[in-house]
Amino acid sequence: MAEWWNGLSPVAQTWLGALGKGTLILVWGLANFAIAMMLERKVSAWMQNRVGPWRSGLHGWVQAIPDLLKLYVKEYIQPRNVDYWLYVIAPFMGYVSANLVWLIVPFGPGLTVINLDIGIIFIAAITGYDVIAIFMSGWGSNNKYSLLGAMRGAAQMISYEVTLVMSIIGVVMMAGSLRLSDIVEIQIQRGFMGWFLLPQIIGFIVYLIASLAELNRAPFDLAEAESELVSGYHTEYSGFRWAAFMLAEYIHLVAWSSIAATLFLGGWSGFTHVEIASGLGNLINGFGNFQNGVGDALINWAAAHTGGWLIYLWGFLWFCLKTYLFVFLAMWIRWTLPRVRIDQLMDLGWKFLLPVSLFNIFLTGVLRFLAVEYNGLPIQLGSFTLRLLGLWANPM
Amino acid sequence: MGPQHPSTHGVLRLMVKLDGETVTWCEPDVGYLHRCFEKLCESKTYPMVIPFTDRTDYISAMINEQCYVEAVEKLFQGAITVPERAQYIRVLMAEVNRIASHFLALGSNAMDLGAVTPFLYCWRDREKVYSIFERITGGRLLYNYLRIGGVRNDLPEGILGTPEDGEEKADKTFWGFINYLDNYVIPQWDGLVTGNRIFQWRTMNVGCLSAADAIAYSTSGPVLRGSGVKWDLRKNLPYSIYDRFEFDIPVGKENGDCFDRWLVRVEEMRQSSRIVKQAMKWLAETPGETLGKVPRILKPPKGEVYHRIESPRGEIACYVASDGSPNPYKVKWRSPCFTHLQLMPKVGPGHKIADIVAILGSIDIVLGEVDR
Amino acid sequence: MGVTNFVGEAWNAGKSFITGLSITFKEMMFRPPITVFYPDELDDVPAWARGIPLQKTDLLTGEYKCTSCAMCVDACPVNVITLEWHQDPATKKKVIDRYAIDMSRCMLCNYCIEACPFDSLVMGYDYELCKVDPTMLVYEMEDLLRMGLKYSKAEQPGPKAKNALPPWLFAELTGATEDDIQDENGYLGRPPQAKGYVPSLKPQFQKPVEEAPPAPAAEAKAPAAPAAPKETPTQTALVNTETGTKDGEEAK
Repeated sequence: MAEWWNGLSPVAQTWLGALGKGTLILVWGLANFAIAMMLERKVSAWMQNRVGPWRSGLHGWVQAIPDLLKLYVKEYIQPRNVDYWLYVIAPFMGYVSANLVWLIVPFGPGLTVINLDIGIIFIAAITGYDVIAIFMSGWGSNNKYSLLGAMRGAAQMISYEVTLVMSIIGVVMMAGSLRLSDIVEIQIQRGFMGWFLLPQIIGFIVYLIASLAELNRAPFDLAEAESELVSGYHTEYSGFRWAAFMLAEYIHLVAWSSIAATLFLGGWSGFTHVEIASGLGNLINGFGNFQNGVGDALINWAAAHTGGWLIYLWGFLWFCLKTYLFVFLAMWIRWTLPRVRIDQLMDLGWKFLLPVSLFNIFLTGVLRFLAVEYNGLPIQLGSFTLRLLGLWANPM
Repeated sequence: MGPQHPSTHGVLRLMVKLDGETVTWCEPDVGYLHRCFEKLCESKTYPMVIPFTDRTDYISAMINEQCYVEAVEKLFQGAITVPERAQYIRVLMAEVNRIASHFLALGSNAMDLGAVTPFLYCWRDREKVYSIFERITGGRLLYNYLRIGGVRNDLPEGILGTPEDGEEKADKTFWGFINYLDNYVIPQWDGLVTGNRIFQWRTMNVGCLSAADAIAYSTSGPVLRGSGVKWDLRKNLPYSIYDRFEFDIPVGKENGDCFDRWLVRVEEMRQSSRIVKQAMKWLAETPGETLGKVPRILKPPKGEVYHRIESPRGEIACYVASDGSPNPYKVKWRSPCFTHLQLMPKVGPGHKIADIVAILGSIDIVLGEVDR
Repeated sequence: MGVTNFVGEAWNAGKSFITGLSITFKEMMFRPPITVFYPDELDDVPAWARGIPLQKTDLLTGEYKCTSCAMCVDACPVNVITLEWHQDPATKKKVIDRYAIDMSRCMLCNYCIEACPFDSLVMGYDYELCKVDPTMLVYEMEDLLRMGLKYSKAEQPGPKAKNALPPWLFAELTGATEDDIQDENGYLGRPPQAKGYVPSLKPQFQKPVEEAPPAPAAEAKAPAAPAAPKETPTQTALVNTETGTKDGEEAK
């Protein structure tokens, strides 16, 4: 296998590689859609004292597949005077923009589809595509209500884009690089409690709120749930076109959760089996106090093994765990909080979150400067706090 | 906003004129659930009307029955005495029904605002009331339990329970349900919805109704009390045996916004729970008859009566005119929700479209009652 | 405005959200779902839940108890009961030609049960009434009698007595079937017999103290002939039916 690959010309390698990675990304997106949709239905059900889908598969967990199949074979009911190309392309625009995020996310050590230098800016740019998709569907539907819903949705998404990117800047400042794999590396280097969650707690909360607004999820789902009591910008869609909107929504959710996991929770970093073994060994040995055979065996085994290809699997596993932690958090929030009104939403975005994120940038900058410049006295007073917050780091 | 609503208010059509997001004119269009209740009553005998009254405000059926039955008893001008035990049972059932009705009012109001989970909790708790009522009356939602002269049958053994009953008996005994309500449900509503800042942003200063307007538009019930007017028929014009019970009347601030109406309903649940406890205490101690002496064919003397009671939605009144025959000459049902719908053109304009839904939810209409 | 208002508002909002989130989290983790997995599980229905009105049978003779007095027809608020009868010249009793209840319009108010002076109608708690065609929901007398068998008892309790509990309370729900009709010549839906009619009991229902069992019938039913010691063939036979251990019949 390796010989065949190496034997190909570089052009062929690029194209085949791209095709392979692209297919993998699309399949990964669909798999995530299925899992996220089922999780949504099940989590909402458990919170509401019921069981959700039950009869279709293994206690209902397979429901996403029959749903998608059903939507695939459903008839397209299309109003007569739609603006045809806008109407047809819009759902798939949304789907494509959702999947674009996967291109830069590090799934494991060295497992990034394209390791762009400007990773963060790339995702900031992608958020623009989703707005286009909403505009297109709203205008193309030739329906007053869709248009109003789309206008609202677009206004909401554009406002929160700014806040979203601002909240990430704090992380970028601390990491010193826009590349997502670098950000993960730096979180690993910072060691225990090295994740950017704690120092950037303000940024994290702003990111959480802004990403929920960006994803059109409750408590900010006016564009789709309430707009004149019909479905907003995807009113006039049926069958697989509507399914594409749903796909876009859920894949967006998982994609932005994975960005959050990468930026704030350390991405794919986590204990591998080797580290678990050595940690367990130390624990059993009582950290050198009561040495015994079992502990020593574990430590020796850990020292002898480097993990091999299993490291990639562990990285991927931790990545999935952290991503789905965010997904669960988003769902938990959705099913608890009521919706905000459109003017309250805009107030929240511009008058509250943007100043807070700017404050976060300011604070991060000041503290970094102090930590780097005055590697001494003024910091001694607050050094314990800073250490706890993780802002005491080696100058880059 | 057409007859099919996503919320459970029923088939109501709201005609709304919009200027961008703001409502400039709003008018309700009713009649989609009209079932000719009043005309129907003229061809039935007096007891036969009782199951039909259940079906007007189907969310709080016992209270409708109470209104009609007490009206007919008044027509007899003392010839029918309702035994005391029956009176207490009526109050017990009416107050538990009031609590259940408020569950639904709060739940659907929350769902209109986007919080779907409280709506499911409301059904979970209503199911417990259904179970208890099924053990007593045989019906879950529509009871046909009250009779002219008393109630159909006495409470079965063990339905009252003991004050130590916990949550696992919430669907079997009254005490279990009341303890569950006080210790779990109301704190849950407070924590999940009432205290939620987003909910408060959505309902405060939305749908403000001043006290003068509330009185001018003939509102009653939580809508009136939410605007600061302390008027409750159970205290101001006591009917049945409500003058024997100790309870307070919650009143909102002069602001009269949706949040006030919400708080009034939650507090009313607490007060109803107090009444229920007092009624249960009496019922546990004093046995008695449950149906007074009633002639086989009911022929009230000629006359007319207008009887009003306090339902969870406001003042329900029943006008019964008798011409001495076994069939009523006329039954008119005064529905509070019908009167409250006329608030929509007054309160609606000036708000955003999202607030219209909030206001409608806080007025708490049931189309069965509006259209009869 | 001001910064303190800003921060204060944010702090209050945050606290309220955390409270709400903790409530839903507790509901999710620590409280079981209340779903009843119908139709695999059925919710418990109390004995006096109001389902559809049904007709009882006198299990002793297989006669229906309804005397066509039409009190139920008068009492019904929605006029769903249809009754046609004629008088049998031999027994001078009314015989039902057609008794039908249109269940699609019955509102389960149970006035008919309360009006019936002969304790013939009972409120069964069958609530699974789905049919493909609305005309299939018009239940004729045979259907009402058959579905009402399990609410019937062999003993006649007499005219409905005014008591504290709902009159339709059938504390001894039995699993009676047409085989429980004790009369030799009895059948479901049998019109009332002449006054003084003495039923000839099937062997399994005969009292042990009887001297001469009806001879031809005894030989015909040889396996059941020993007529094992049974107290009374009436009430207990039915009670045993409930447990499914009636003599001469296999357990349910």
